[in-house]
Amino acid sequence: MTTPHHIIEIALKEGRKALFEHEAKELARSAGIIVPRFVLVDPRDPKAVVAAGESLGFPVVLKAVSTEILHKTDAGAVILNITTSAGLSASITTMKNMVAARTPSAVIRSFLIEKMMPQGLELLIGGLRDKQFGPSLSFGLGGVWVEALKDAVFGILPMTRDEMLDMIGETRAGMFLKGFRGSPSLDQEAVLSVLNAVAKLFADHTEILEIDMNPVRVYVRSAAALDVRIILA
Amino acid sequence: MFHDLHNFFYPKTVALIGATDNVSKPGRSILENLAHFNGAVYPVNPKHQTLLGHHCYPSITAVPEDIDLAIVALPAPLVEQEIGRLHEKGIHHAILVSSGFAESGAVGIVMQQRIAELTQKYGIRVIGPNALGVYNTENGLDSFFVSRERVSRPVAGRLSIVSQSGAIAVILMEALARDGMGIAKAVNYGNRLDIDDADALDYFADDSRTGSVAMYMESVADGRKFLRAAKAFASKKPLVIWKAGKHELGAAAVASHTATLAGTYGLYEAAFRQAGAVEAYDFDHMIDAAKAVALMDYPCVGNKLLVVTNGGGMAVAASDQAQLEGFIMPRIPEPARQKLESIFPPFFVKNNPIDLTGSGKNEDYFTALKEALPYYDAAIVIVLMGATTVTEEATEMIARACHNAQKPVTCCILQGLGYTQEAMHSLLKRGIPVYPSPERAVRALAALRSAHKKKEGCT
Repeated sequence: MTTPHHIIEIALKEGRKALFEHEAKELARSAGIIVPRFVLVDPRDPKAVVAAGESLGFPVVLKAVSTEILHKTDAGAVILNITTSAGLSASITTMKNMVAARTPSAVIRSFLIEKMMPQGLELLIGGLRDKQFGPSLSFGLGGVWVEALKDAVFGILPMTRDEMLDMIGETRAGMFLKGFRGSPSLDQEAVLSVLNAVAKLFADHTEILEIDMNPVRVYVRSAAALDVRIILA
Repeated sequence: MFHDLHNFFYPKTVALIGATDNVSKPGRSILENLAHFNGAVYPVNPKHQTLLGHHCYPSITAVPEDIDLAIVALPAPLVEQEIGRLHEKGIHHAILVSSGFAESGAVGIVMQQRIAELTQKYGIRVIGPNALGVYNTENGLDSFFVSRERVSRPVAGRLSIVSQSGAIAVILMEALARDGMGIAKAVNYGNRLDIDDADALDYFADDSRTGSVAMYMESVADGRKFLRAAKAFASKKPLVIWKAGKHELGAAAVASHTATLAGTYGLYEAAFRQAGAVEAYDFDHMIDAAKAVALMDYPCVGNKLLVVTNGGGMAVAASDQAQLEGFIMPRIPEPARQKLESIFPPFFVKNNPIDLTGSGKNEDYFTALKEALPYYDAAIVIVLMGATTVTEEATEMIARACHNAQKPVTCCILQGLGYTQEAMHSLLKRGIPVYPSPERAVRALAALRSAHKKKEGCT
């Protein structure tokens, strides 16, 4: 198994500032953040892709891993909710064509096949290492709401539990976490664990400049980071 | 052991380098303002033998006394060699008034850097450059190069001012002076070559004359140092901060949502929240909040609000704003309501708001607050001075009821001419913050509430 330090070392050696998604998720997992189960396969081996889908259990998500692609959705490098082996095979062809059309320079290094996660409240959780204030956390509504509602607030690390609760309390996301108009209250403790894990990543790895997890899905019990992006200094 | 800033505020001897009689130069107005200082003043300028009745020295090294503080008002290119003379004279504290340094471009940045190196080498602490320096109502020290004819100075009080901008410091002081509000000390640190925002907060946290601070900033010198200092300050005394320059977007291309959303303001907001400061969102709000924390001695410990008025409409506006600020307005509890029912005429409204109507008299304000305020955390009191049944004496009644109950009260008296202005000043004199609109009175109370919450460390 590759250690977090080793992952960062390799990326820097290869001159990559942005970690690949599976690398970023490995780091997140090392800090205690739940991520969907995933398998990484060679794009030239379609049988392995289908086998990965079957071993994870459908539905799954297919993502392309490429140095040239920064925003996967825009590049057509994400296909959600694939429910059968045949669908997965077909998705590989679709994705290869789409990526080739939208980002002709992109080389697909591997395919990432992930377990599809159930719906939940979508948050943005992350942070950045600021020149003035040092490591900080970001928190707010995620998914499609990020741009529209600009719910995100920040916190400067280190933070106490009360300071984290204050930060959450500043946002609409905080209101939804408590349960809103009959929807159940969600796992705030799991959210606090994710925030603490991000703090730990910044403390343990001084090479990390930015962490961006969007969405983090929050359930009645637990929370999981569906997409993790890590930028190195 | 005194804080480094002590010597800037309490020198016994002050030298003004660049003193002059030329009214268009800073060295003139500073010299005039130093006439109010209760220590010794030594003007320095080789071109003069005497200045405004002082003996004038050709060089700082020619001054016969030890100098505790040098105020340097020379053109920027002359400052560097003056630093050498300050060192020769054994001076350890200097206010560099001169502009033309880092704020003005590449040449200025280099000059400022050289001065930073020299002063550090010589152990000279510096306020500035590009700074007005200090104002201290306790000993009359005033290094601000703004004449008192143009800008009046506030009297002695408990609020201190920390400002990155000289202009804002001056305008804030004048706004407070206009309302008869006092201040303890003011510092404008300008380009913060040495003394910065955090140093000022550290000093004022332990300054017994300072009860609260109003602060203006555009950027911090050192974010983490500031957060530490602000947290320590706000755990002891109320801190109101207004940060301008909120919406500059980072020029660098950004690779993630987080960086895009942060701008720089997001982190400032976080720092203010974690520090426990009351963040003012504009100039008026800073003054309103500063007035509230400086004047009102009683903390706002909860969100139960009472409104007393002699005009219905204004109370409705206050109630709207109260809701936005997180206050609740429970009805008057039965014992108090019955008491009021037995005293007041039937047409007074004994709900919350209590409406004394256009017939309400001075003493009715006292009665309403006396009976009801004990059941609430705070009150907004609205007085329409147009009603012939109320006079300035109402303000005395309100203040007495507030001090009896030891609960915070803010007032709304609509802005007007002579008569209403006298009433406003009468309230301020009695320690009751007063505002020209119901919304501002409520927001000021919210600032008190927020200052208290942070101080207690509860949410």
